[in-house]
Amino acid sequence: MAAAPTAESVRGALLRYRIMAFVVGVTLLLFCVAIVLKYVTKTIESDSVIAIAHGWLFMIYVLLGLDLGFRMRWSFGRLALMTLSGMVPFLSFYAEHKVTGWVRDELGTPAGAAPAAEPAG
Amino acid sequence: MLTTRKWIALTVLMVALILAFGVLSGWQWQRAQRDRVEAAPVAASQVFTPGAPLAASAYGTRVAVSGRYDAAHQTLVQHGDGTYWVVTPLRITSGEAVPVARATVTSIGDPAVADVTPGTVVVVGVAQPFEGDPGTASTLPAGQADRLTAAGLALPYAVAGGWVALESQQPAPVVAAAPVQPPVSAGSTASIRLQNASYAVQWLLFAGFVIFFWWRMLRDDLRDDRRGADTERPRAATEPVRDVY
Repeated sequence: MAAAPTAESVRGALLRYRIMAFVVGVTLLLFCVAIVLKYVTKTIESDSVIAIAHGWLFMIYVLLGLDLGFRMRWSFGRLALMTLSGMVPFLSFYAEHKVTGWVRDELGTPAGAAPAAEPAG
Repeated sequence: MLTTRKWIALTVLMVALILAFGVLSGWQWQRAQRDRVEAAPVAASQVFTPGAPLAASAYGTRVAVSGRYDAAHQTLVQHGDGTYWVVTPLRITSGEAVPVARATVTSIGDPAVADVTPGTVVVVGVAQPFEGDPGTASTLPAGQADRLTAAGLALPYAVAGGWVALESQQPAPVVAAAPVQPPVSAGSTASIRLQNASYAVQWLLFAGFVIFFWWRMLRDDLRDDRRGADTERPRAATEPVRDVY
């Protein structure tokens, strides 16, 4: 099976996804702070710099998340959950933790060891 | 495993997502342009030079000018499509009169034709050049012309080197009439909101992702198919959610 996930092919994708999930999670929190500063306390005039940054980073995050998900051959529902969780402040950190757990459950841990979850035959 | 029903569903979903993302992209693009700022009017004296035709760089400039309409020398400029422009000279205290195209009417009996605001009015409109070709001698009755030229207006006093398509005036006209669509439209500074423009591009890219991942799933499925049934689901125990497809 060509796209059967192995620890080898997934390790890079998981690392990229985790880094991006962290970056997007932090950016999203900054965006939330900017929104409060703009609309509630009115201390800043524009939040568009962080909004634009978050937009592009989120796009990369979705791309990397889908890449990981496809390598793992996860279901659509799971892919959708991964994508949508990146839009919710704080939830993105939990989602990243959860996703890493799924990968380790399915491929064995530590990543790089023989995939324990895949019995021979 | 390539099952027809799954792929029909996936393809329908893909098309739906692409359409939705396209609509969202268009919506953000609309929003990006919502800051179109109308240029503020400048004094007509800055645009019209006495004795000279309107400079090409001034075509479409929004101007403000105050004066009194000269109803006696109003001209109806006929167009091929059966509409008329109501052009009334605006006498200003010093300098040349500025012809103002006040309204578009479909008949010479339209109430807007006679609705010449008396007294001093402040006109805001878009500066336009006269039509270059004076054309053949008009066979139309007096007070009508088939082109908007300085000569065609036949005014007994000096006329500015161009005319103004009325946008608004103070006091407002009594009769609400169709405005004159200026041949050279007014300058508006199209400021694009980067944030929304950025989102518009991203929605398009998301639509591209959909195509890419759809293709990738198809490719994986076809490969699985080719490898035969025994290797089809080697990881059945670890991927129970695949059946959600």
